[in-house]
Amino acid sequence: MERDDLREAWASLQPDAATQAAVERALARHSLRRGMQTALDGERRRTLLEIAGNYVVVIALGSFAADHAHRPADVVSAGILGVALIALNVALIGLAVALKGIDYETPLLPLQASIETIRARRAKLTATVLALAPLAWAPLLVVLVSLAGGDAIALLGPAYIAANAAFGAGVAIAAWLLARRYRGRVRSPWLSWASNALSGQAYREALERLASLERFREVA
Amino acid sequence: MSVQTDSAAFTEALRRHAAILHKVARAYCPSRADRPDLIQEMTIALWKSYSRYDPSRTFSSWMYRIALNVAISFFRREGRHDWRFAELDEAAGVADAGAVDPRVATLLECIDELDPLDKALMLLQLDGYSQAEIADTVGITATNTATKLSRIRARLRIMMGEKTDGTR
Repeated sequence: MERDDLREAWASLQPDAATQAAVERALARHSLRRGMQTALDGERRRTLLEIAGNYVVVIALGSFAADHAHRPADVVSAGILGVALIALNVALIGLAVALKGIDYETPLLPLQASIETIRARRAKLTATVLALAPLAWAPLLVVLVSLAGGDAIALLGPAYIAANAAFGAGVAIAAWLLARRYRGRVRSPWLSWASNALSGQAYREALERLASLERFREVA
Repeated sequence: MSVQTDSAAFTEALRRHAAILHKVARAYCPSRADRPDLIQEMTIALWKSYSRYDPSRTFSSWMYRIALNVAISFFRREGRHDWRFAELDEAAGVADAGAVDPRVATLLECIDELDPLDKALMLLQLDGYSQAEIADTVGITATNTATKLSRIRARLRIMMGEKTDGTR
């Protein structure tokens, strides 16, 4: 088939009833409103909510630490959790700024490269959070027992707390090994997402895609 | 311009160029079930960018750029494309049931096998855009565009030949 034939065939492709209905539905819902959200706007909003939520918890932890300044274990536990959340927020703010810079009017290649860079950063952050989350169990336990009116060290003993921290580390390693072994074999969308993220597969895929975009830029 | 005036002009222009949304959705979304979502996403992205639209540029090329960017990112998002719906579509044989001209059906099948950015190059060329316009939309040099288009055309010719022979 020659190029003109292809063009002629292509030109005959007109919107079907389903497309027209979808366009009309979108226009009916959105034509007079500036505040409608694309999926990207939704992602930005979720990231901002996550940042705000983390800051509320950081402030609460700070207040908790100040109230329990006489108990070193409480202060250290709240400090560990607070520092982890602040580090998480620094990474999330970076992502929120990058997401704000996304403009669909940008040419395809640079925009897709920006989106893929954000995806890689998000995948790396998710993998780190999933891997380190079990380590937060022990400090969280100390804070929760204290909030319930008890003293975790006196009540449970330092050995129990240490064993809890070790168990958390064990769970983190086991989860990583399981994610590497079973990723791609699970049907549950959530487990599939978690195993891809934790095993680093999502991050590798984003890097591969970035590399393929870079190859596309080069004249072969 | 007021929101109402903007909205009326946008609605009119979008209806006039709805074929672009249809072509992009057909090329990037194999599942019919997901196409309305993609079309809605493209429409919202277009509407949100419309206040910055420069009338000295053609509406269709501006629209193509945004629609293609949305389509390429839409299905790369984690968990966005549900394999079960794609399988159901395939099983029911409805994936491209809307194509009237058999040449279009074959062309869409071949385009479906291209890389997302190659697809974009081909769609723009099929709709008659110049190499300079295509290069500007995709963000590569005109030389690179010409080289890639020539290769994609050759590849499509082979694929279409194979598919046509296969149906005889």
